Amino acid sequence: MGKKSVLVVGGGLSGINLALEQAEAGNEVYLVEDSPGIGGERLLYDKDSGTVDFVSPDLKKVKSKKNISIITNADIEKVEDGDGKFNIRIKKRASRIIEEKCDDCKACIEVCPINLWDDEDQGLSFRTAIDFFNQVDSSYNIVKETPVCQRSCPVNLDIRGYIGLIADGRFEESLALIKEVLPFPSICGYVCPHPCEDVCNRGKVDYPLSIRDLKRFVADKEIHDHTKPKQEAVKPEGKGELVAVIGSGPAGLTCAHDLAVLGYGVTVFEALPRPGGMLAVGIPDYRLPRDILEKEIGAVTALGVEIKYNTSIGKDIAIEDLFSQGYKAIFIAVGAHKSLGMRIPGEDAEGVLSGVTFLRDLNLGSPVEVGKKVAVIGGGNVAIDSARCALRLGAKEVAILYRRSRQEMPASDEEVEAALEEGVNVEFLVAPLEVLSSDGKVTGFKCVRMELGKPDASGRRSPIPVEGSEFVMELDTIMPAIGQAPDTSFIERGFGIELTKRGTIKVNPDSLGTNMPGVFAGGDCQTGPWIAIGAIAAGKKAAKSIDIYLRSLAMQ
Amino acid sequence: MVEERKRYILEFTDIPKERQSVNELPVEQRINNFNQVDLGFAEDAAVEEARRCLSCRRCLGCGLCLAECDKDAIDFGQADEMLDLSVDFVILTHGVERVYTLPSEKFGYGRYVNVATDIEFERILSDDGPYGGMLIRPFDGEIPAKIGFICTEEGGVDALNFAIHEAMMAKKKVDSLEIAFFCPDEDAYVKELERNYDNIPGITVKRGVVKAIREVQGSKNLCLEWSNKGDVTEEEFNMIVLSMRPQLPGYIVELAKELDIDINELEIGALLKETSKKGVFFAGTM
Amino acid sequence: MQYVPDIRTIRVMCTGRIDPSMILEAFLHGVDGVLILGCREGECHYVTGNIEAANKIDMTSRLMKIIGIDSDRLYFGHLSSAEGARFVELAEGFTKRIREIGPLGREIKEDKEVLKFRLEAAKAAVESEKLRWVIGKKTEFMDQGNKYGERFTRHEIGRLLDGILMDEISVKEIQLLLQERPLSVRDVSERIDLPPHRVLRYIAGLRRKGVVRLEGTDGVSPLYSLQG
Repeated sequence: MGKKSVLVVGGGLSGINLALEQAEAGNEVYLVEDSPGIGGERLLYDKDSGTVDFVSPDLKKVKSKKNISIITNADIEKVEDGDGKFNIRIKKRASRIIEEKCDDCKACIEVCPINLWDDEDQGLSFRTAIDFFNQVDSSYNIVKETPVCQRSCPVNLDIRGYIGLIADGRFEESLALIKEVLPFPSICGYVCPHPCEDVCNRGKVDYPLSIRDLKRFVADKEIHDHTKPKQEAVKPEGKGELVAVIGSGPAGLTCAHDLAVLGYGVTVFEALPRPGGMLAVGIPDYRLPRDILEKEIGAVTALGVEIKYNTSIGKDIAIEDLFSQGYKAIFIAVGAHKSLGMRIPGEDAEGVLSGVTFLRDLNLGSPVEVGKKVAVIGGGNVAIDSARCALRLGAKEVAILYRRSRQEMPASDEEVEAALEEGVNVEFLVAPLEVLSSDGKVTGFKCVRMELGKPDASGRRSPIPVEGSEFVMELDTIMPAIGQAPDTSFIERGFGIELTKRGTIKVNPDSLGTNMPGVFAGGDCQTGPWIAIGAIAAGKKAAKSIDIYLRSLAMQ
Repeated sequence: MVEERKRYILEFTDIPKERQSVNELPVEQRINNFNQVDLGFAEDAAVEEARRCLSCRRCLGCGLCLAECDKDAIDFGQADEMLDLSVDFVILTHGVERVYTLPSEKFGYGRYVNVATDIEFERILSDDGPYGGMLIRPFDGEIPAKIGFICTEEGGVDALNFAIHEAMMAKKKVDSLEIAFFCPDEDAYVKELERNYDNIPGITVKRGVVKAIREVQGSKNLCLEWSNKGDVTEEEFNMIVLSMRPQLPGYIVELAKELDIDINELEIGALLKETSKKGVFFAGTM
Repeated sequence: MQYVPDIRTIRVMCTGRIDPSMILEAFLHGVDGVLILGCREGECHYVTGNIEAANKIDMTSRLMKIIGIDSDRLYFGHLSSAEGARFVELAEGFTKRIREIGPLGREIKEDKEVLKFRLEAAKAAVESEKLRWVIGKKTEFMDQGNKYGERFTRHEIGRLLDGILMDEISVKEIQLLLQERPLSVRDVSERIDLPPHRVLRYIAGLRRKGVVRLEGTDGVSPLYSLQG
């Protein structure tokens, strides 16, 4: 047996010992550690001698071994299993220290003005922004992180920057900064579920910043005062190549916007009579006014993007025909509009109407009827929106049933608050068992109470039914809103794009390219139902990849 | 100064301060129409709200360290590096990582400075820790005379084991130290403790459930209330150590997912063994 | 030109020459207020002298707020050399305000010694390389950006300065106390009105930097002193 190569993940005591063992056996070892230095953890008990004392790994030895490469500050980005080998991609985060030059004189530590929480010491002490890792491994690094809010934002928006500009009263510059990455500041200002606010450090001391409402404030200002900050000008020469975008939701329109700015000709194919995807047909008007949506979409069409309405790919045009019509690349962003069933007996009865369908019909102006007593099943924003809309349409009693507790509820807090304020009744830890009906019409709902079970190895607690807690609710309308999946029937009919086990479109996560050259996919149809800002991020990524793809085509 | 996990946030003079409120459509005007509910910020409220931003920043890029560095060993422009490897085997190991979902509210973790987790206590004991290996408590840096260890069913026996070793180490440092273990009234826990009894003189084991912890004004000692079969007793300690359930670090969970390995087969503290995925091994902390 | 008699003028070549330590030194000598008058914005003979001055005065006034001194006791006014009347107006307005606030130290409840101690710590802080460097970079941070090319908003600079100043003043207070004799965390905490766990953390940080060492223990309290 020849020399083997081994990846050891984790630079703690066991990782170091295993690395040494492997190296001594003559193997090539890569020791990968997430923190800036190795050997951080100590153990209190020595199994060999049976005594209690700190057991330290042999750092000198592991560092001096020629066939051990120590990679600190590293994230494993990707692991692929291929042909008996594992292909690993590692991101080594910059330490900003040139190791070979540093002689551990500590001069930098003495002058650094920034005190930080010391991760290694569990925050019991301070370290400075430039500091050594710990007393045993003097690997230095500079802690320069993107702020938590920016990191949590799928489009990596410079939140600290634009909030600072608002604080300084420089509103137009603030909006210009947002627009550098985000083509729809107003829409996001209205509907973004703001993952940034959930992680905001200010929330640790009193209340998180109202980041979303601040964005809306500067975006509204543009609308009301007709000031338009300078924006990257559209490349006038025009690249000429045509790109087809399927779906006019946030992913599709963002991609169209970015490509149009780069000078490509873009056509968006939309199955419905209105643009906006879920923004238009999934979100009720009281959350996102129609004129705001239309205004920002108008800014995209003003760049020369054409939207073809009532054009369903697969029905009106076959996807493969797009290439023969002259389109050089395709971006699939059809969203996830197919409601998942509850998979319980009786769910075909009249009076069972999925939340997504209900919201779509309502938003498109189709006649919708809700009964007097409504139950919505699910804990996401679709469930909350459906409940609040049902209330506005005259339902007397509306209840939301969710099988976990408030803590696990994926819907945004303020949406839940607003629903409660308006009189929606939210029942936690309840799961549906059976739809009861008479003459094919819903009459009641048999449910069971749940409790949270023991946490699994990752700490997640699954709900389990409480025996004997079944009960029946009398009602006339049931709206399941337990999740959506993309409608990929147009793909299944022949065109060989690979899907995942979950029924979403399979892509290369780096480029969003599918297995078909020139065909990209992103947004909810690739991730499963997610938030608008996530779809926007996908649209941006796809636009970049399509640009690269088309330029490489032109080179050939 | 507010201390939260992985945070150091200064108490600026404007903390605490309420969020500026946005205008909202009154509830009674919302029924039967689809008018906008959230009406947004007025200009002065928006500026006020924006001023609440802490402008979080770590390294501020001032360059003073570089000016001081004789060796010119700092490179602000250094970028992240991508490395692609191809290996025959993968060995996953986990460090010490704890679940922070214990009923910390009840035990006052995060609220009372002298309530520490077992990992924090390990750092306190360690020679390369924040206090140079001196056993002192986090509130005032004084040497504790009496420490209570709380082990819960959620924490499990593995965590208890870790705590026992910490207690032994603490006794080594401060001979006169009194230690009490609070553990569930179950054989598994009590046996584990009894097995180590001889090694820890001065230890008492209290079976039962810890009801509440209260901080004593001034001394910041902790009054611990526990019950065993209905009898409720109170006792005061200088410091409390919470035994937390070990868990797999997030990156191991992620890797396992990518490699299609059920995380339940990755047993914390296990010896090196091959997982269900050929070529991938797993080892716990030995 | 007639103006209030309680003002002593000190001439400097440029307001940019005024170091924060001079202002604090003046307070240590017992003045109740410091009025700095310089050229109008954009009219500096040395191009950026009064901008540098504004930065330094802003930092000093933030520092005064932190140590509990009314920041109205420091005022930076602008006028040209031909504006005698404006000078009188500014001087009178300022003395009026100072009379309203009262003698220096009224806003601090503790005795004069505490005031002196805090001013000394503040002076030590502004004399340190750290603060000189950071304040010297302020204009650069806002116009050109820092080492990473990130430009700061006024708001960000304010937050940043406040944070650094708060840390720096506490550290200097601790160092001044430990200079006298070895002290425990509790001793230090009582003297400088900072919670003990904060003091302990600063001391742990200073030990890490090699500035402070463990001297011994007094009963259950470890004592710390400055590293020789």
